[in-house]
Amino acid sequence: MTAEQFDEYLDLYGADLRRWPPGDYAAACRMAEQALPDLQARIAQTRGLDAWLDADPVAAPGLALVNDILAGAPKAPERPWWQPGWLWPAGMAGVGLAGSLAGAMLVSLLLQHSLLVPALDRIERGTAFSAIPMEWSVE
Amino acid sequence: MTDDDPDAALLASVARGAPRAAAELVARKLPRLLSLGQRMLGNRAEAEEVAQEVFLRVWKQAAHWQPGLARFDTWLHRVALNLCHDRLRQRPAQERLEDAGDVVHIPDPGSMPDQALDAAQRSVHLRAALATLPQRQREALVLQYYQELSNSEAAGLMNVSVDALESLLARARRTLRARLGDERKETA
Repeated sequence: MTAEQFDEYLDLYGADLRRWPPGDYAAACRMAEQALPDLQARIAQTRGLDAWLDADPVAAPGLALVNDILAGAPKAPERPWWQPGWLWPAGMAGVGLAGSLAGAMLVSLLLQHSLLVPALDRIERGTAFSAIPMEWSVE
Repeated sequence: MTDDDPDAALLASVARGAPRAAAELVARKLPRLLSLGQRMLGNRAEAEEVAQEVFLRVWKQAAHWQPGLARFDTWLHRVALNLCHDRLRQRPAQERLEDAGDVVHIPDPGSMPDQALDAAQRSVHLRAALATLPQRQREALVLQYYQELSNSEAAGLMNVSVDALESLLARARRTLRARLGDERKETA
């Protein structure tokens, strides 16, 4: 890097070498360390202007402004009134529970039926009529 | 143009309506937009209005954003700059003359010792000096120094070559240095 290029960069990027193009950083550091008095003066002068430029910080945004801006942000599509967010999982759980109960009832009915049939069978076979010997008239 | 836009994923979440994503995007971009607007327009209230208008466009655009075509931050700066240009054009002719640096008299900080200038005074002096810069010089300085855009990004936003941008930057710094009194202090 030449002294002229260094001088030119002071006018483009200021005296903070970290703002300079990364590829020129190392060479610029070397040049700044070895700078002759006139270049040192230019660096000091530029540093003075940088201090001026940094003397005007912009205040952080206020909460009211942030809220106004966020009020217009896209919203996720809303569920119908009958399907609010908290009701959806509860509804699914309810449907599951109802299904389980219905299943249990069906199974119990089936079991009851399968136990009942032989019992009825036995009762039917065990009626007074069936127990009566066919040949009673003979006796 | 670029596939590694750091804002692309956040913007997609914004488009889906995620409230936290919108809040994060505002936190990430609003201070920079205010900085741009305030330094371009020299007026906080107008800067806030510009920022609100920019975000209205962001909210509309979020669902249609096509990653890879442009960096979101560059697009954001372009929208904000255009809105600033519109406002500057609408200003009365007298103010535009002041923008060109022909009329305004700023205090001469060179006549005061640095210690006597507190932060608020320095800020006032700087704003006055920035306001006297021709608009293109001010814009170049704001984009490159304050917004920390690269020379090529700033040049692209201003539709000028990098050489032209660098010329604007150098002239802006020389003008400011003269107006802020550094030259005078040196010769004293």
